[in-house]
Amino acid sequence: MLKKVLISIIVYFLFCLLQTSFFPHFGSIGNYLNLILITTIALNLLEKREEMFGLINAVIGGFLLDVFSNNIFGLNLAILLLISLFIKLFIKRYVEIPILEKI
Amino acid sequence: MFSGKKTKKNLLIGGIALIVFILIINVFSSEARNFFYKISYPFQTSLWKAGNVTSNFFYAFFKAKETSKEVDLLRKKNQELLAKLALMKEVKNENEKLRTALELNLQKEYKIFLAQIIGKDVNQNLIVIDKGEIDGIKQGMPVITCQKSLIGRIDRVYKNFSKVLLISSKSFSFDVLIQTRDSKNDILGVGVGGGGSKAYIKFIPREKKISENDLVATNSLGGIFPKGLLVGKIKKIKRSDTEAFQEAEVELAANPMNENEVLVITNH
Repeated sequence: MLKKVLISIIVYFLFCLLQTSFFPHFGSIGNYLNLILITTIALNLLEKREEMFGLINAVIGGFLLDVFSNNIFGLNLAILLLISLFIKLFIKRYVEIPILEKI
Repeated sequence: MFSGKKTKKNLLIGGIALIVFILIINVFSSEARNFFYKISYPFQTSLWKAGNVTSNFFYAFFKAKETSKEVDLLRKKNQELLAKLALMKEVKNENEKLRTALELNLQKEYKIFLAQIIGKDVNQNLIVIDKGEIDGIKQGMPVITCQKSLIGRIDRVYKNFSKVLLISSKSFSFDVLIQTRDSKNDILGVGVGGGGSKAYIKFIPREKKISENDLVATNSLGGIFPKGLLVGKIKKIKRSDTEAFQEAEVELAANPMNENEVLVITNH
């Protein structure tokens, strides 16, 4: 688990660098592309409801987004955590997504 | 999910620890951000330059037709400007003589500081530069391009880095002067950011005549910027018979996404 968390920190840090320094040069798509949000949503949708890795990823990603933004610390973290909880507690329980079921 | 006493207890402890951590880090937010920018600085600088080169390559690749049209247009403009330049040279010579006589020069007018752009804020309309408190950067200092076009002003200062609020930001407003073709009738207005890469000029009296391509420069009335920094040119004019003021969309002269370095005016 610790190894997985360390890999997440490195990958999310790299995403942050790309989001703040590389993608802004590519017009509006580059400006609004949020790799951390996409990855967190995908991870939470793909993993089992009992697993916690998606939530941990939301915390790591949210914290790093807070570091590279001008808002108070905790805002992006709270948003990502709420999205992850919403996916785990509601979408995974009440919505059936055929593609995800196959996985 | 989250069933079992032990899991619930662990989650509760984890949640409380997270809240405490966030509260503590908010107290030291400047130091924490400065630390992270320091770690990422070398990577961000390289990525910013790589992004600039890559986007330029793709722009040339996908918009070859538009580019060739633009080149033709620029060639024509260049010829016009060369003609004007010949006239200006004479004026320049005269000016230089006067300047020497008055012991003035541009560097004395502005004390400037070269800084490198290392990234853009996640929430847009802010860029990060590699100069901070230890370099003498202070909040509110104007930031311009090397061609002396306005980019924005210093919004937050960390120990080694600063954040620049771009003039296109919606929370930005400043006094501007519209330089009409009839140079005797320069018009005052209020420049406001429109988000993205847009900016508008508001509160232009309806009876004043402005036209597209009129130049827009800063005005020192508000005390935010020195007078005469180029903001851009008028792109679109919105007039309404029912309103007392007209509004104009400005095509900004500077695009920070195409720049690697900026200048900070430190003595304004």
